[in-house]
Amino acid sequence: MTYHVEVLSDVSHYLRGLEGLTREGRLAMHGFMDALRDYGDEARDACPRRTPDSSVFHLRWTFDAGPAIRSLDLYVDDSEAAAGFLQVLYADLVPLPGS
Amino acid sequence: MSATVLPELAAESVATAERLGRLSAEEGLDASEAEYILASGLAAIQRVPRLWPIVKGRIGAGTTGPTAHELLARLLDVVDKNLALAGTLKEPVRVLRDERGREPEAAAGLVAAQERLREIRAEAGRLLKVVDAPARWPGPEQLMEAKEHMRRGARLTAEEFRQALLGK
Repeated sequence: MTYHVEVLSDVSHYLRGLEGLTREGRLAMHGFMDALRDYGDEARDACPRRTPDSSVFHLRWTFDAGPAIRSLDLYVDDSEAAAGFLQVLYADLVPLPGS
Repeated sequence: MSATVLPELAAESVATAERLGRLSAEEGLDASEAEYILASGLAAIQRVPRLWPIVKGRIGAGTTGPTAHELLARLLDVVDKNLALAGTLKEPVRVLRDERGREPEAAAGLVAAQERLREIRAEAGRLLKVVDAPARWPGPEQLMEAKEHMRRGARLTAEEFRQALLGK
């Protein structure tokens, strides 16, 4: 199934505000949208949830931000999945180890 | 990139390293056998660094954490198996040294190749820490609040988000 992916405005604001990413890095980061759109069913099945009945799953996206390869954590609500929607509620760029 | 080529390349490298490692540990190698095994083993070890940019490029283009982990785990397995091969190739080096009374030329290449594999191992290990870093889950209240904001319409479509992040 192909999903419509929506992003909470706070998440968009957070991701836009990340500093130090190159244009190519932002493009690579944006790839999680395509992954959720095209492989949403696989993500819903395989990604961890806090509890089995939770509607929120955690997708880790790893990409070259420009200065370094980074991991971005996305927390996605699939309560509207039957209607074809996945909603990104929260994002967190994982700090580099040792930073 | 093909989803199947990289795992097969990694598997081929591991199989070659294990086969040549077994052969180089055979007792009673003569000089010509030792020379052949040493040359083959060195060539196999020297090919491994070419996998590293493929793996880094694949991860850098953007991939899920589990896929990145699997790619790095495969690479580290290749590196470890080839480092083990480098260790067993000391026997053919010894056979040639005893036979000819001097260090075979390939011995220096073997040391350099081992060093490069150790560098790659360290780099891949650092990247694995990025890939496997613990997640910092938001609290239930944060998620409830986010859901509520989403319900009230504080959301962007995929196209709106793309434009916000990347511009036109």
